[in-house]
Amino acid sequence: MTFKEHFNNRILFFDGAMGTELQKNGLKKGELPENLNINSPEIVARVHKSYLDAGCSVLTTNTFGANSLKFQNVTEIVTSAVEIAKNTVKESGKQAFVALDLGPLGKLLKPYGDLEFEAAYELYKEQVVAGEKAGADLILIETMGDLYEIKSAVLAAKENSELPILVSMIFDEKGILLTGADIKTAVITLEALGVDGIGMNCGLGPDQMLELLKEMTKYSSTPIFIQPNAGLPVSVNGVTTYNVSPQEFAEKQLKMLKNGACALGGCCGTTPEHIKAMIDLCKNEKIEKISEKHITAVTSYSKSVIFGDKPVIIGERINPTGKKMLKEALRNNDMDYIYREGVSQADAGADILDVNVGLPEIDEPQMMYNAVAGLQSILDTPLQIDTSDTVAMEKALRIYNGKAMVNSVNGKEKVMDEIFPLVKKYGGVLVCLTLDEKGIPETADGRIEIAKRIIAKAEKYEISKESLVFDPLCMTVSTNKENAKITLECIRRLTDELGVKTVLGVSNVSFGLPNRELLNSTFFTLALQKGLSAGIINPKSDAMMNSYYSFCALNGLDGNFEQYIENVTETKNEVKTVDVDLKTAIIKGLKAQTQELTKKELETKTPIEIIDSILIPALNVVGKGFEENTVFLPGLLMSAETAGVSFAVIKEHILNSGTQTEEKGRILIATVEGDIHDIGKNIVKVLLENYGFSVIDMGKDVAPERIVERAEKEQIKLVGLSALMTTTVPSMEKTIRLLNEKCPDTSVLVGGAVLTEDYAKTIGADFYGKDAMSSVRIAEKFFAK
Amino acid sequence: MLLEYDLHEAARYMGYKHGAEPSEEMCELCEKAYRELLKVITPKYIYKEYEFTRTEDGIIVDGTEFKSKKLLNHLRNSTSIILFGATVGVGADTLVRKYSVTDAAMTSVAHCVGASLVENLCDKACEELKDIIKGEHRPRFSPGYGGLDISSQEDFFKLLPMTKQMGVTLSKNYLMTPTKTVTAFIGIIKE
Repeated sequence: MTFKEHFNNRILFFDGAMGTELQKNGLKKGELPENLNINSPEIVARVHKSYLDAGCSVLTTNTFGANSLKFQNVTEIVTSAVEIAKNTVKESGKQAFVALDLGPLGKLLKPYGDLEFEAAYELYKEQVVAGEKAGADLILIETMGDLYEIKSAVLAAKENSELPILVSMIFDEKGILLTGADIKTAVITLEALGVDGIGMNCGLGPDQMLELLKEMTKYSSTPIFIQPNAGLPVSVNGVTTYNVSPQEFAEKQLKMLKNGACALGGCCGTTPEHIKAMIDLCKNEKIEKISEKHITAVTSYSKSVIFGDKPVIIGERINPTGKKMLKEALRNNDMDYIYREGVSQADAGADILDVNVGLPEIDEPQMMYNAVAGLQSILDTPLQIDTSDTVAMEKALRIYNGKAMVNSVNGKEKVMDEIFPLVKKYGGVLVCLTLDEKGIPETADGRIEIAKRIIAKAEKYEISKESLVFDPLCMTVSTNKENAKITLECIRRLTDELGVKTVLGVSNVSFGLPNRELLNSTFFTLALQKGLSAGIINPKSDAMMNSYYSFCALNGLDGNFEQYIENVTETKNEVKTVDVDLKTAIIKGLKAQTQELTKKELETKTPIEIIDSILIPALNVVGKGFEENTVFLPGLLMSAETAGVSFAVIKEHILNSGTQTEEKGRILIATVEGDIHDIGKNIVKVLLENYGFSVIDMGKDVAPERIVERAEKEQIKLVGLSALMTTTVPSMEKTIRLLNEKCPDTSVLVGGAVLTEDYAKTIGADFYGKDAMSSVRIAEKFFAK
Repeated sequence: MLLEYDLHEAARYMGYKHGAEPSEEMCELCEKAYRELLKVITPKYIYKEYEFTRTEDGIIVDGTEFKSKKLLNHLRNSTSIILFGATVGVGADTLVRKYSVTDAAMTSVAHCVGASLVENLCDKACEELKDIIKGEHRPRFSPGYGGLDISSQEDFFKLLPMTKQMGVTLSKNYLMTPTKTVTAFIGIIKE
C-alpha cells in the first residue's frame, strides 16, 4: 500500500523531536545535526529506531536545515539521511514510511527579506531530487511560517517529484503565521497548491493547538495532521524545558483525533516515551474521512476573500482600456502609478484588484510580473490576473503570493485546453465567460449550455466547480432592450440551477446612453438581488459603492450598519475651503485643495507658466527652509508631494491637449547592490520629480552591471547612487568604476548615511549630495550647463 | 502589550534639530502613522540568560567571542548576561513600503514612529525582564554599536533563536528583516 492509500484511511503516527534526541545520543554542542548523516549515521539510526520501537508509522529524515545556504554537500547529506531511515525500517522488520523532511531556509523571501522566490525554489529542488532518488515515500515540509516560502517548496516538490506532499505550519497562539496569514487563508492557499496533507507543528503545545485545529477543520477538505510541542517552553536557569508528560501528551493528542485530525506526531520536547504513550492510547481509535467544504475563495499572503459570504467588489481600474494616464504610465514603465491605483482602490473598499496591463507595444509578461510583484509587496488585497497572454498568466501565477483569481477562460476548446492546466498547477479561482467559438449566445439558454460545457471540461482536468466563477456577460441595452434582462436571468439560473458563483463587469450595460452611473448602479443592485457573487466595478465611484453598501444594509449583511454609516451617510470629498492660492497650498502641503487650485490656474496660464512661476518658487521656499533648519524632512516631503499632485493635473492637461513639454533632465537612481534600504533614495526621487526632472528608479539592491547597462541603453548623463551601510560602499565604488569604463560621459552623484564629501571623492564620485535637497541643487546645476 | 511612541524621539529620527517642536500638522501625521502601525504590528521579544567570561578586548558567551572593549567595559561588574531580541514584525515594513509609493511624507513619518515603537517595545520588555531575572540590569548594548562589529550579529543569532521563534533573518550584510528589530546584550549584576 502506498502512503496516499493509508493517509486519511487509518491513523498514521509520525515521530517526535529529532534535535534533542540526537543530543541525548551524542550530538555535540555547536555541531550541525545534519552532518551526523555523514559522520555518525549510527546516532541518527538509533533515534529512528527508538521511534520505530515506540510504534511510529512515519519516520522523518534528519534533513531539516539541509539546504545549500548552509551545506555544500546537500545531495550527499539528503541521500544518506533517507538511506539511514530506510535501512532502520528494513532491519526492524516493521512497516513504516520515510518522509523527506524540508524545513524553512532561514532567510526571508522578498519583499520581506533578500531571497528571490526562484532562488528558494532551487534550494528546495536540490533536496527534493536527492530525496526522491534515495527512496523517500513522501515529502514533509514543516515548521513553515511564510506562505510564499511554502509555495516555493511545494512547487519544487510538485515539479521535480511524484511524491505526496505534506505541509505543516508554525502558528502563534492567535493562529497567525509569521508573515500574517490566519488559518483560513493558509488552508485555502495550500489546498489551491494541491498538497496532500495540511498540518501544524512546533511553536505551541497541544492545548493551544486544539483550538486552532477546530478552526482548521472548518475550512480544510484536506487531511489534517498535528505535531505539537510537549507544552510551551519554560526557561529554567537558562535551559529550555517542556512540561507536558507522556501520559498527558497522549490524552491531549487523543482529543485531536476526536476533533478531526487523522495523523499525529510530536515536535520540540517530545520523546519516544511521549510518542509511545500517544500511540498506545490512540491506535484503536476510528477516524472519519475529512468532509468536502465546497469553498470558493481567493487569498493574498495574509488575507482571504470568500465568495458567497457577502458580494465581492473587484476593482477594475488597473486596465488600460480607455485610460490615457494608465497607458502612458505603462509605456514609461511608471510602476508607481499602477501601485497607487491599487492602493486607492483598496482604500475605497475593493476586496480584489483586477490587474490588466496589456498594451500592444509593451512586453506584457514582464509588465504583468512587475505589477503583481509590486502590488503584492504593498497590499494584502488578493489580485485577479487578467490577461489573454498565457505566458504572462503563467509568469504571474507562479510568483503570486496566495491563491489568485484568474481572468479568464471561455467555452472555446482551445482556450480551455490552455488555461485549465495552469489553474490546476498553480491553483486559483477562474473567471469563465459564457461565450464560445460562435460568440455570445443571445439567449439565457445558450449561455447556460456553455457554462455546463465548461464545468464538464474542467472536471476532466480535476478542477472542481468551486474553482470556477461564471460571468454571463452583459451587452448594452441600447442595442437590444432585452440585454440586461437576459443577463439577470443567467445570474439567477447559474446560481439556482448550476449552484455556481457568478461575476459580472457591470458598466457595459449603459454604453451609448447618458448618465451611465445611474444605470450602472441600478443594474448592479438588480444583479446582486439575483444572486451575483462579485461585481467588477470602479470602487472609487460613489454611485456604485452606494448601491453596494445599501444592498448589504438591506440584506442584513452589514452587522449594525457600520459600513453603511461610515461610507454612505457622511458627505464625501468635503474639502475645507480655506482661501489660499496654489503657491501657499504647496508651501503648507495642503494636498486636498491642490487639484482644484491647479485646474483654476490652468484656465488662465500655460503649464510652463504655472511650473515656473508657482510650483518651483514654492518648492524653493520650502527647500530653503530645509537648508536653514526651519523646515524638516516630512514638511519638505509634504510640499513636494503637494507639488506632485499639481504636476499630475498639469501632466493630464498636457496629455489631453497633445502638446509636448521640455524635459529638465533625466536621472537614473538606485540603491547599490547589497543594500536594502531605500527610504533615502525614494525621498531624493520624490524631490527630483517634483522639481521637474525625469527619474528612472531602478530600486534597491541593484547589481553594478544592471545599472551600467541601463545607463548605456538610456544614454543617461547623471546617475544617482545611494548606500546606507559601510559594508555596501565597496559595491558603490565598483558601480562607479564600471560606469567610468563603459559610459565615460556619465557623471555620478552619491549620497547616504555613511558617506562624506571626502569619502565620496575617494571612491570616484563626481558629486556628493549631503541630503535630498542638495541632490536637487546639484541636478539643477548639472543640467543648466 | 500596547506600545506607545515618543513624539520627540520620532521627530529626532525625522531630522528635527535643536529641540524644534513638531507642528500641529506633523503631530497629526504621527498620530495617523501610529494608528495604522497599531493595526499591523505583531510585537514579540525573546531572551536568554548566559554566563560569560572576559578576554582582553571583549567577552566570550558559550564559546563565542564578541570583540569590543566598550562592551567589556559596559559589563564590568556584571555577573551574567542576557541576549535580548525584539521585533514589531513584518507588518510595519509592508506599511512603510505602501507609503513609499503613495505618500513620501508618511513614509518618513511611519518609518520614524515605527522606530520609536520598537524602542518602546524594548523598554517595556526589559521592565518585564527585571521581574523575571533578579539583579541590576545594565542598559542595552547592540551589535553594530560601540565598536562591536555588525558581523557579530551572525554569532548573536546562533545563541538566540531569532529566526525560529520570531522570524527575524539576517541578510548577507547582517541587516535584520523585519527592519524594526533590535538585538542587544544586557548585563546583569547579581548581589
